[in-house]
Amino acid sequence: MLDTFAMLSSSLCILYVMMRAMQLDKSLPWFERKAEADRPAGAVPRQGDAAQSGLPRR
Amino acid sequence: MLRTLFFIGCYVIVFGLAASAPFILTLGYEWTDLVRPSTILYGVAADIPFALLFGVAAFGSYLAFDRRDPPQMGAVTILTIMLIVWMTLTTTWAAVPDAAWVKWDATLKTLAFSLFIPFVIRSRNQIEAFVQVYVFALAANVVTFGAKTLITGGGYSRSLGLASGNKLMTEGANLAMASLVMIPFILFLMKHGRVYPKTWWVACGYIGLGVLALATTIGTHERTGLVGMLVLGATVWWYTRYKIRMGLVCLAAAAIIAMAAPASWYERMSTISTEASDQSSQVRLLVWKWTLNYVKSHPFGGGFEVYHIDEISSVNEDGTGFTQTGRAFHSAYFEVLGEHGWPGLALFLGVIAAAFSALRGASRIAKRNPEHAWASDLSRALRCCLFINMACGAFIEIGFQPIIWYLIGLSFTLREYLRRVETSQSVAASLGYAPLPPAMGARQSLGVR
Repeated sequence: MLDTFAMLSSSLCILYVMMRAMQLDKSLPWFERKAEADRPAGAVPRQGDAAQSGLPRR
Repeated sequence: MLRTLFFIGCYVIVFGLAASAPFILTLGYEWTDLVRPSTILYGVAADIPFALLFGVAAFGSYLAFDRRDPPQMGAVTILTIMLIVWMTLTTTWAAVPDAAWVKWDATLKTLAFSLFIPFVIRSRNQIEAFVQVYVFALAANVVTFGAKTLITGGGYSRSLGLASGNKLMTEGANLAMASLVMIPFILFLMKHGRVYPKTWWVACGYIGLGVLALATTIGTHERTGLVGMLVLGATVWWYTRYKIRMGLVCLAAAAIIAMAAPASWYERMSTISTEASDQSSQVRLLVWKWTLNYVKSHPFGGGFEVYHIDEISSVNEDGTGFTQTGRAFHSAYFEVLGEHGWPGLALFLGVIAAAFSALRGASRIAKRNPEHAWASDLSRALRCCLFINMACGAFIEIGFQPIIWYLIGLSFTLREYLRRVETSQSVAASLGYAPLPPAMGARQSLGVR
């Protein structure tokens, strides 16, 4: 039971990490857009990580 | 059967995701290499070379779709390539050629992947994803072992993890060290993680994982685990900015462990001071002595798996003599020395020194920009992990295991990420781009002088 729970949760966490990493690398998720909207005026935006990753921009 | 179908389903999903982002295949290789599905799956699935499939796909997709911004040739890269060449040479004159080429094959893949990481993992998100996969891949065994320890108290040589055996994560000392290596990464992810949202339940999850990691270390009843815990506490305290707070946390953790650890754990740890009477320690010292004698006549080493030809003799407590052959090195340093001689040991230590140098360089660059505070903290976490590996490596054969080589690869990756960012920012500055004063609107994100 514990073994199954550990394998299941570990695998699902890793799959989530992969999907979120893809999402962050290509575009900002909704709660990051909120952080961007709340950023003080004139602050330099964070350099896009997609520029570093080499992924083609859409 | 269901377990097999679940894992195959997960890997199919990973291949599907990788169609959109090639770096996912590198994370998939890392996952399979640390979890080793062949040890936990049954039937035909245990023979499927998942790691090989991910490795070939990762390399192929990089060449086909993702080849840009290659890392500069650094000391880590040069010394690792030299080590690969040297270990190939030593394998040609190996004392045990059949076993040597098998280990050479596995080691080559580990070192080659360590070299490959900086090519593929290039952004902050990818670096964090790599760390997250490292933590959660190890967590598969740690959660199981730690939970069972909390219930039963653990025990020496008890198979409480996902699989039984005496290799990699199924071996107690390796698992104890891997559990401790997770903890600096967990502290980093709690502070700077962006993959998981910053909520109280995620923080509780990470704290729970840390507790289970410590429980696993105690549950293995390995003396290496005690050494690792002391090094973990010392390095985490040394590298933190909040020394008083971290000191109190370390003392509280030590007190809880002291109160909660079972009597069997104390008995096992007490054998550290009575090593002469403990045959395991005595055999270890004899094998090390044999290795030093062996390299006197074979300064270039005897190739992989040379321990198969060792022969040690001593006297038991009751006066009877014993002779044993084929006893393992029980030390990463003596493993490298015996297998690849003094040049091999020099290269191995050189790679680790180069990794530390890369991390120091990363910290120096990160300090110049507050936005890179996460990189500075990751550099500290990596140094803690490397110190734990080096300390525990004095007693377990982890010289060519992925758990240490991924840290080496990640160290260079972090350094290269900061170098690229610094270069692009200096190019932007030289072209006349500068941040706007606060009075300007947020729409104009970059102003031209």
